[in-house]
Amino acid sequence: MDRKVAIVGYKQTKYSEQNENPRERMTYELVKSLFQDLKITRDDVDTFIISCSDFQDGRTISECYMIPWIGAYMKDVSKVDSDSANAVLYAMMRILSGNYNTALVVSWAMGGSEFRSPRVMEYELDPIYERPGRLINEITAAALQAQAYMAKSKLTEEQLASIAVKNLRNGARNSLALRKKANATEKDVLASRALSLPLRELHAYTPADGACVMLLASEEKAKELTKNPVWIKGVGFCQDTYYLGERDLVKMDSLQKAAKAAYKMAGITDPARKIGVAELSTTYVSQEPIFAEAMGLIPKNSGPAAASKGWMEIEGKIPVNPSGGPQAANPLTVGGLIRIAEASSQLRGEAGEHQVKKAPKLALAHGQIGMAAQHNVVFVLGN
Amino acid sequence: MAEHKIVDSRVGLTFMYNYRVGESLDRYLDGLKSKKILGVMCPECERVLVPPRSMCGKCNTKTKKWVTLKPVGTLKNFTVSHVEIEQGEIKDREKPIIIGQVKLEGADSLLTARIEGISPKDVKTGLKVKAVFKDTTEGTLQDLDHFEPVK
Repeated sequence: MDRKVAIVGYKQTKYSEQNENPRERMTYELVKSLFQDLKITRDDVDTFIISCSDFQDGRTISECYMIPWIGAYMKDVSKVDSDSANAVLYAMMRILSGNYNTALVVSWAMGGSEFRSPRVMEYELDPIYERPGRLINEITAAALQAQAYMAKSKLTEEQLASIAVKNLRNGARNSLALRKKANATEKDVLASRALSLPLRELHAYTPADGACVMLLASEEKAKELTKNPVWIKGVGFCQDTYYLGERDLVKMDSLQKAAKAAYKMAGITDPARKIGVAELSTTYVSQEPIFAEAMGLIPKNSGPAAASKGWMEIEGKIPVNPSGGPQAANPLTVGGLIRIAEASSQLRGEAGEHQVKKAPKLALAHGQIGMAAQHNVVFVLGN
Repeated sequence: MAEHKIVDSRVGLTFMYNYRVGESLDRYLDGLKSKKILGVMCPECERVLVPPRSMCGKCNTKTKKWVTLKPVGTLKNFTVSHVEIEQGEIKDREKPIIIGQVKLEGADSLLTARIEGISPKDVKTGLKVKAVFKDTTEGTLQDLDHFEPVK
């Protein structure tokens, strides 16, 4: 890249089942507090990229109601109706074009109170091939993926539960998390409600209300705005076919390709050694070893070893989701942006209670959308 | 948690989209009506796709050659599902069901279907299964009711 793009600041809400404010006020407060921190006004933002979902907001072109609240009145605005990692990608591209020096990414969801995710699940399905059959949905797709991985790698149910326990404990150290279970045990996980086996309630993400905002800037502008920029070193994105029966749910070609592209751009050949921390959009914990393998963070079929030896714990050799990940809170569409903010705060040493011990030089952040992670976006970040 | 006033902004629409099925599924449904499972072959990669698609995503090519598959195959993957999504809620099923991914003989993609005739604790991948059709078929996806173990 000729031009460099940095993350100069970000803010997250506390995640909850019901935010004290509606989406307008919630997002306004967040944008304002970011502006105050960076000592800027909306005049300093060249372009706004929004990520939200019409379906979840219950309005068509749902960002249009939010323009004044986020400071975008009469400004350059565009929207991504998908996971917010795509909005960061879009914002970054606008800066790379040379026409913009700053871009504000804004994403919100009221997935805890107004519109919980099962409501949208049936609308995710192919209306012709799958909706009438009522067999495939987000949960059963993730369960098939988990089962295929467990059959291949010999990961046990106890080991799968231990990954959930790790994330629930990490969440308890994250002041913004909604689901916190400092004393969770494998037994609790295995006794939680059976969804579609091997997946249970405590393996799944936690729907939440919440928002996240992030300011990106060109190199010159970033250095003006902060002493602590986080550089986007590499990015890759890829999308598999929709149909589960035509995909290798364990190999995850689309994630593998996205990660390869991001590493190539960042000049990394050995991600397992170079990446110090990863924040992954694992909507179900079974995806943690699957994703980590597809991205080359751990060797193939080493999920069982990773789980029993604690490789992905905060103190482990490749900490994954020290924030607790989507198990701690997952306002849909905001997920990818949260992962990028969390990875950035690890690089800056600002993650507080869930800060990884060995200061990482490079971090990986991942966003995904679609059943069993059809579409993947990978960012490599560095300071 | 504080109580917040909410607004009832329902519009009173039921979302009925009249989706058209397209030529491949049209022919597949006709096949099911006569208790046959049809697949389609990509002329470039020669994969046989079931359910059939009008084009192969991998090769970006129109699929043309139709094949009638034997209604038998192997269970490649499965989940024992205790819940279903009902009107936007995750509800417990009365009895768990087995949802399988079946590789029919001669097919390259996996067909998702209900597996019956075996208990959730005995089900295993590698199981040989056969298709069971409804007694009276109507040319819908539900005509292929489930798969069960080959005795």
